Formats: sequence, structure tokens, C-alpha cells
Amino acid sequence: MNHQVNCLHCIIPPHMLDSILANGNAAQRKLALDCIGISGGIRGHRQALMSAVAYLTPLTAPGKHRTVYTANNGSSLPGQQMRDEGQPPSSDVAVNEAYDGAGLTYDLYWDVYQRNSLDGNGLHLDSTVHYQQNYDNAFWNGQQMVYGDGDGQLFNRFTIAVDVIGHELTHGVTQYMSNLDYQSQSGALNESFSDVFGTLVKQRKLNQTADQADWLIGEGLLTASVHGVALRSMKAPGTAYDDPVLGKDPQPADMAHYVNTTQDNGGVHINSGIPNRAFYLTAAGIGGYAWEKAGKIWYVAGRDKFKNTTDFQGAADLTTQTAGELFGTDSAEQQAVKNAWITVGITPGAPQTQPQPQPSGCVTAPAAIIRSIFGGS
Amino acid sequence: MRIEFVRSGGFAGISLTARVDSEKLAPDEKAALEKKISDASFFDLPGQIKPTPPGADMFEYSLTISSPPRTHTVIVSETVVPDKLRPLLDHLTDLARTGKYR
Ligand SMILES: [Zn+2]
Repeated sequence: MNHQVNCLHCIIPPHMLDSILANGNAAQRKLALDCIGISGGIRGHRQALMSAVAYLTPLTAPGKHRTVYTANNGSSLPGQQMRDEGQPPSSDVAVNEAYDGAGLTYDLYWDVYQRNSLDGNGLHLDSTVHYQQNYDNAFWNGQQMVYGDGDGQLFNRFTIAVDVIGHELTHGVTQYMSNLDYQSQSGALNESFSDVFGTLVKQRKLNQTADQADWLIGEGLLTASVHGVALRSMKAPGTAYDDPVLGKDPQPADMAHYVNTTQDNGGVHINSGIPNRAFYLTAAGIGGYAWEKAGKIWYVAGRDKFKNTTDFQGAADLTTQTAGELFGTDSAEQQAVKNAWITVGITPGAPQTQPQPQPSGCVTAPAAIIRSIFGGS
Repeated sequence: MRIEFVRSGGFAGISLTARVDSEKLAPDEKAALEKKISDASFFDLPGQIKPTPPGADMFEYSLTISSPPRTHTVIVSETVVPDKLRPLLDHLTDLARTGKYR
């Protein structure tokens, strides 16, 4: 049982806990369950405990609801429904890939960051496959994911790479968090966030540590006839492909090579190479599974500190600040974040000297202290 | 007419471009292209056509046509392309794919 309990919620009377368990959203139910874990165990609120058991199942996946549609090679969205949550696999491989990839992405956000879907409130995950004909793209339209089949000459189907699916869904997460403007540096950060959490979905699926992962975006998406391994490399931006038809990967690896352009909303898919590499360097510097610490720093900074106008300097400042709050000032984790940004050409600003916020809940109160106060067994 | 077409963005971020001088096209090709420009009422379209919410990874078309004394640019996201403009964009996408108009 998780002992990170918020004091305020622990003084809630049992009947109210029952009501929260019955009617609250997932986050509220979790807090109620945490309270029961201590107050119920100590004071013997059996009714509340029974309710807790009844609601344990929904807590494991409180809002995972995927629906996959096919556009039947047309452009109407969402199209014809093919597979809904809990239904058996379809005979259509793209349908199943979209379904499974959305599930793996949901699981990363829920299991690791306790986020219930894109909006934090169980938003249904709608995906459409077989969009148009020979369509070389996948996108988030503000409401759902859309995947093309590829032309077969250069691109395979876009559901083939689970990081592409994680990328598209993360655009939804960003829309509900910082809502980074899809233009220039804030847009490139928006793109980078999608690459970061897209690749974390893949790494977690493969159970890879930062040094085992390939840090490629869209591996498997290019056909065998293309000279390239993927569409982007977070570890070595600019090296993913070099092909007579597609051209060369245009991503810069540092600020000295930042690309000023009016195309692509100010180069959002180009300059994302810089923050992508900063994330890779952070994860490599910390070591272990990248989603646990580096991912947590990026997620919390994006959720709590980024604004729609945050630029690269702001991202460097705010991720460094967040690392200090999560792991301690001058911790190895914070140092890894700082070094990463410095390597790509951005020096994070001095940590702000505002007072430390109160810890969220009685994190520091071990169960033994609570037992001594309440005199429980 | 001089036409500058760029399709940028998309998940891959790989651009397609075409620069076409309609005077240098074969007569039937010139007529076909100019009919699509006329059918689109191109010079009456707004300069920017973007969806709300903006979404992400959609192709973005940028089209500039000069027919002195008029010059006009339209930037439009793929999901909100006006029906009457679609045939012109599809035509120019095909020309860009040939690689002969870069
Ligand atoms: Zn994207």
C-alpha cells in the first residue's frame, strides 16, 4: 500500500470516503483508497475497506477506453468502427496495432505518471486507420489519432512503429497540459515531447534501459528501399536517413545549427532535434530506465510549469528546476539535466530562490508515527 | 502564371516542392492547371486556413500564385482544405512528386 497520503484527505469521515469511492474520479478514488489504507486499517472502518476492495479493479485501469475505426481509404473521420475496448483482435493488422499501441501509451501514463488518459480524466482514445490512399502520414487532429497506410515505396503503414502511436497520443496530452503553441520553438518543444514519450512507450514495451535503447523515432516505418534506419534519431539528430529521394535528415543536434525556416510551422519537426537530444543526454546521464527519472522530470515540468509560449531556454530552466524539486538541488539527476542542456548549447538559468513548496501530502510521516499517534496495532 | 507550391510538415517533416511557370507547360497541361486555379477562386481565398484546435503533424500547404498584377499566398492545413481548392493541391502534389519542378 502506498503510504504517500495527503493529510487533508485522511480526516475525511468514512461515509464520505464511501461516497468518493462510488462517485469520484480516478484520482479522487486513489486518494480515498490511500486514506483507507491507514485510517481504515487503524480504526477499523470495515465498510470503507469493503468498498475499497470493490473498487480495486477499476483503479488498475480507470479510464482505458480505446476504439479503432477504419476510414476505408477515404477521408471521413472517425469512419467505421472496427474494434472497441475489450473486444477480441480484428483480422486487420493496422487495427490491432493502433489498439495495442494506444493501450501501451495509456499504460505508460497511468502506471508511471498516474495520469488517467490524455486529459487526466479518462478521455476515450479514438484512432482511425486506412486514412486516404497511399497516405504517408499520421496526425492528431485535436480529437483523435489518424494513421495512413504509407505508399509502400518509401513508407510502410504508420501503425507499424509503437513510438509513432505514443507520439500522436502525446500530442493529446500536451494539448491538455501546457498546450505548447505549434509554432517555432514552442512547437518544436511540442514535437519533442511527443518524440520523448513516444520513445518511452517503446523502451518500456521492450524493457530497455537508456543505454540499451536505440533512441530512434519511426524505426520500421521506412521501406527497405530507403537509405535510412528511421525518421529521427534522438541520440544523434541528423543521422536517421540520407536518401536520394527523401533527402537527408535535416535535424540539428545543437543550437549552433538551429534552422530558421517558415515551413513546417517554423521547423517544428526539424528543431525538435535539439530538445530531443537534451532528453537523451539526461536519460543517459542518469542511467537506468529512462521513463523513471528523466521521463518523470520532463512530465512534471510539462504538466506543472510549461506554458503555451515556453521556448527552449524556458524548457531548460524549468526541467532543471523540476529536477531539483524532485531529486534535490545539486543532485546527480539535476546535474544530468543541466549538463544535457549545456551540451546542446543552452545554459539553464540559476535555480529560482523561491521557498520550497510544501510536500504534497504527509510523505515524510512513516506509518510508525501514525500508529503511535492513533495507538493502533 | 508563376506558381510556388510547398507541402511541409507531417509526422516525417519532409517537404515536397514545385515551382511551375505555366507559360512553359504544354498547352493542354497549361489549360488544365489554370482551370483548377480558376475553379478554386484562388485569389479570393483567405491567406491562412487553420483548424481549431490546431492538432499536430498535419501536412501544411503553402501556395503562392503570381499573375501580374495579382500575387496571392494561401497557407492551409490538410484537414481544412476547401473542396474547391483540393483538385489544385492534388495536381501540384503530383507535379512535385515527379521531382521535375524543384
Ligand atoms: Zn508530432
